[in-house]
Amino acid sequence: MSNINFETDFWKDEQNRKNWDDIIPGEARKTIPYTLTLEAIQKYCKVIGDTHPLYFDEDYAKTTPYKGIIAPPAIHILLMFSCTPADDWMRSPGTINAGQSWSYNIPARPNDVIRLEARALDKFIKKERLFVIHDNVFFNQNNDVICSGRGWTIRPQ
Amino acid sequence: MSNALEKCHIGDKIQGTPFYPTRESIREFCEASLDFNPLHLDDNYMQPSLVKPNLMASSCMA
Repeated sequence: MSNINFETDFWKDEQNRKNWDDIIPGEARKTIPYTLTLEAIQKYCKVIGDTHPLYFDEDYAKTTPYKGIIAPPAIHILLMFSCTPADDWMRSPGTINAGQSWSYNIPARPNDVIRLEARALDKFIKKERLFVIHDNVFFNQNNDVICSGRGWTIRPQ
Repeated sequence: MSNALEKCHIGDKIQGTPFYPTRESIREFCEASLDFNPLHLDDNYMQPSLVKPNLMASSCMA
């Protein structure tokens, strides 16, 4: 894996994570730039069963409008974790993904240095459940928007 | 690329193939997406939950 320092213990920074009361809509979340490698792209593609040559064969990919290997759109699932620190509230065990909607602008590519801008937009209580609405925008090293998404999570109590 | 677009028609259907998540495929997806939430990996964490069997695939796996 490209980021060998990635923290895999979800409990390690549990005490440092914001709970629902502490989350402030509009406040930027801490994020970490991440260099996306060909290895990470291809590992993700193999696992989801998408072996399209656009993700594996540089000679083929050069013949396409993309002019080279790209990452699949859903690579944002990997990027969400790779671009956030271990104490990010989105990682709290018990977080429930209640829905999300994504727009894809340009593909991510091998060796892109990817930056995330993310924040909560709103929070509310419905049927005794604690909801947070958040948005996430991923940029490459040229400040081009790769993709942007809005999601709803139910926070652990 | 343009050929593929021309072959698509409104109303076309895609016949999907069944997919059966396994512990192994769930674990592999977690590793490839860096999602190490114990919901997906830790039977002990999930033991008191109402979810049976005791692991959940990532909602992004669907």
